[in-house]
Amino acid sequence: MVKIKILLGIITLLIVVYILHFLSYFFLADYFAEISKSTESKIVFGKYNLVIGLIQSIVIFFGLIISFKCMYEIIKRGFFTKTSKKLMYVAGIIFLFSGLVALSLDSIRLFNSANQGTLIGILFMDFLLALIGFIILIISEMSCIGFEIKSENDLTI
Amino acid sequence: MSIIINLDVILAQRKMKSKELAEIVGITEANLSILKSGKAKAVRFSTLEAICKALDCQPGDILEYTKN
Repeated sequence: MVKIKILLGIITLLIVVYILHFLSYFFLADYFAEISKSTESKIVFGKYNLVIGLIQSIVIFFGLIISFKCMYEIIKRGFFTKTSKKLMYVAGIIFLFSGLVALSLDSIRLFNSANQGTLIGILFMDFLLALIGFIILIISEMSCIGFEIKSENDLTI
Repeated sequence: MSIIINLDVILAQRKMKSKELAEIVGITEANLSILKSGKAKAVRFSTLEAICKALDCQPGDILEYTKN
């Protein structure tokens, strides 16, 4: 359980970072608008990059919230509960989907950009996110099987 | 379920209460209730042995198979 609590702490930290990130959009709106204007002709998707980035961040933030709820449920009620396996499945889908979408968009950016070195690094991060989502999906399947075994064990007198 | 548990019948014959049987067998009353109601998925041989010993009966007296 200690490892789950550590993971919960890390997820909480990430959620706080994302909240600060969203708040920066409000407080530094003019700054971001200026950057967006100056770079829109130089990068793929132009002025929409900011919106795309914001939507991606919101989706990942939602995935983090689901992960937080899942970890909290595991700490409160133990492994292999109905709620935790469902939440794990949803979190896995969100991260896999986000990773794949980010991978696609950054691949398009890569082929249209001069700064390919940096983008290859970002592509690798997107791939890692998709891989994490996929791993979480596999763990959620194991959690399903664990739940069935636990239910049968609980009803074995 | 096709396996019926006739524990209530044997308990009535032996004039024993569920609580008493649960204590002798070493299971909780809740688990005994699950067993009696037919909701149990499985019974351990050790539990069955303890029940038969406590009620002085055969497994066939407690367990009955019916075609559903």
